[in-house]
Amino acid sequence: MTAGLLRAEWIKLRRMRITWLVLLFPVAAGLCGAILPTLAAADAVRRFGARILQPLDTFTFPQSMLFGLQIVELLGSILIVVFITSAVGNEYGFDTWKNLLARHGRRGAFLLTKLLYALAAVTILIVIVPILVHLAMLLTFRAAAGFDFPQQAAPDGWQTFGGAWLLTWLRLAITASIGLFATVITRSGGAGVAIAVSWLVVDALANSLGTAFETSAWRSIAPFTFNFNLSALAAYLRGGAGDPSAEFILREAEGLRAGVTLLHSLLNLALYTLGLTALAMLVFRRRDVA
Amino acid sequence: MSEPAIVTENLAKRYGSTHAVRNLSLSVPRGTVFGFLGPNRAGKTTTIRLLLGLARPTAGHARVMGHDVVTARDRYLPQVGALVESPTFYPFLSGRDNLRVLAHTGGYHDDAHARIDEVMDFAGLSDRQRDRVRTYSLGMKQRLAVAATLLNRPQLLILDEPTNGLDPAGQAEVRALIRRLGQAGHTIFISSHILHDIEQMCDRVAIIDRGELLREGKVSELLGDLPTLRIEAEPIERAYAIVSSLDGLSVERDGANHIVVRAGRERAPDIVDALSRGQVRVYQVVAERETLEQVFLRITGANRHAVRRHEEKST
Repeated sequence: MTAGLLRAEWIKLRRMRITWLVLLFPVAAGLCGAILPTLAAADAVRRFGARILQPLDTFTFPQSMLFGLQIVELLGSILIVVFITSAVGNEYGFDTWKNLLARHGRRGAFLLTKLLYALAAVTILIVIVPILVHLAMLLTFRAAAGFDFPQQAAPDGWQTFGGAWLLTWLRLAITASIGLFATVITRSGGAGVAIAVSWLVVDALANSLGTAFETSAWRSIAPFTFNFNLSALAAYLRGGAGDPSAEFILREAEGLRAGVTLLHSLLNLALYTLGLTALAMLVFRRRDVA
Repeated sequence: MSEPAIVTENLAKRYGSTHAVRNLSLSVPRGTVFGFLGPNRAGKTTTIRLLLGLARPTAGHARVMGHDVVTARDRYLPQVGALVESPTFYPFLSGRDNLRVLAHTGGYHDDAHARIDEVMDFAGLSDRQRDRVRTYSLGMKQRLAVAATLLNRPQLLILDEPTNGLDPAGQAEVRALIRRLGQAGHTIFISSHILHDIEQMCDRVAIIDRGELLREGKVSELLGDLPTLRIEAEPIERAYAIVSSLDGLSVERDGANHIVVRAGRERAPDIVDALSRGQVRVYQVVAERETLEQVFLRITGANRHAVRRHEEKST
């Protein structure tokens, strides 16, 4: 990959509406999601006094920033799919691959450049949105209630937030890899979105059904879904013991045939990210430009 | 002696059961303007795609600027400027930004802005360079595409129908540019339907049809290949019969009073003598040379006729 490809891609991306939609929509949604409940809480405090502050842990670190992360995770999956499929699919749609590939012999570098921008967008979002959400809650509460709510960070606040941050980044990176792969295979942005979104839904469904029903046929598939392995990784990161959700996941994992280990989860997640990207590059390098 | 700019050896490309290119062996010497001719679906664009590494050969080999088209694309592509089929750009970008994308993609950054100014000026698009390409006419896009091929000051230009969509003035400009580049020592490989242009611009031509090379050589050789004598005589039937009976001559009727004989002017005295002895009055004998278009139509027409006969036999 060269700096030239990065610059060329940026010239295109900055003029594409989806780039700004991907960045601004979660920010706007995060701010709305932060400001509206904070105003309601501030109103409640004004009416009933500061004694109701106790249950307002949503507004304290790390919950406020986790709330921002959840918003990014919720919207980001779809937006990143649309972003990567547009970036790759536009080249097919406008028939511009022939111009690019007739000027630069290393084909894989084109896909890596686009994926790199998708990951950069993901990184920007999961850094910016939680901070903005936290600040918006803080400032809105102060403005509306007239005083700060107590910021008593949990002792393991940063560890919790770091784990969640890593998992969100990983989830969105996997989503981007699926979008890239689907678009290269179908040579179409529209078909790429359709396949990638279907993939996300089926993965979530297989994970839910596989872990919910012991006799389900999904049970043999679930350990290979990225949702299952992300949940398992989350459980390992939280240490498992003492955490009800982690214990549940671990118990379920033990019940599954594949014998889920940390190595199993890491390998599966690597396949979803590096594996799909490598496969997309291999197909793209060997296939004729139509 | 340096290796030719383009060499293909038994190059072939098959899509399913369709042979787009078969056993194509070509050599394009450096510094020549090489015309690549063929009717629609002859395999011209497929060949160009193979040369640019956009498609992989099914069989055979090709080398461009001394490098293999499959294994060393990154070695020769920086030396090549190419226009493949119809011009395509990002409609949401300006003409200038489209060229910036291509310049950076090709690793051409140093004086990219100045060079873009130069080629935009050449393309006559300086005053529209900030407008989005979606507002350009087809002719403007074609000019932008030709300008884009010059961005990296290429040693080899591969142009697929470069005058498509251009008005006569635009076509003349592109022709003049290609001549200038040819005179400056660039190698130019150009496919075009406009045979008059090719005849004027090219040193050598290759004619392909149905993926096969039918003829390759210097333009002067091809045009001098089979000169003709156009004879006005009376009675024309007797003239036709007499000339047909002469050794090694092919003759065709042409209108009510003319026959066309495939022969050089050195055969004219013998023919006139034979006609006089046969009581035929000869009014006019004109030595003609075929145009490239006539050569092209004759060669491709004969090929199509042969293919049809072969297909009829096999069914």
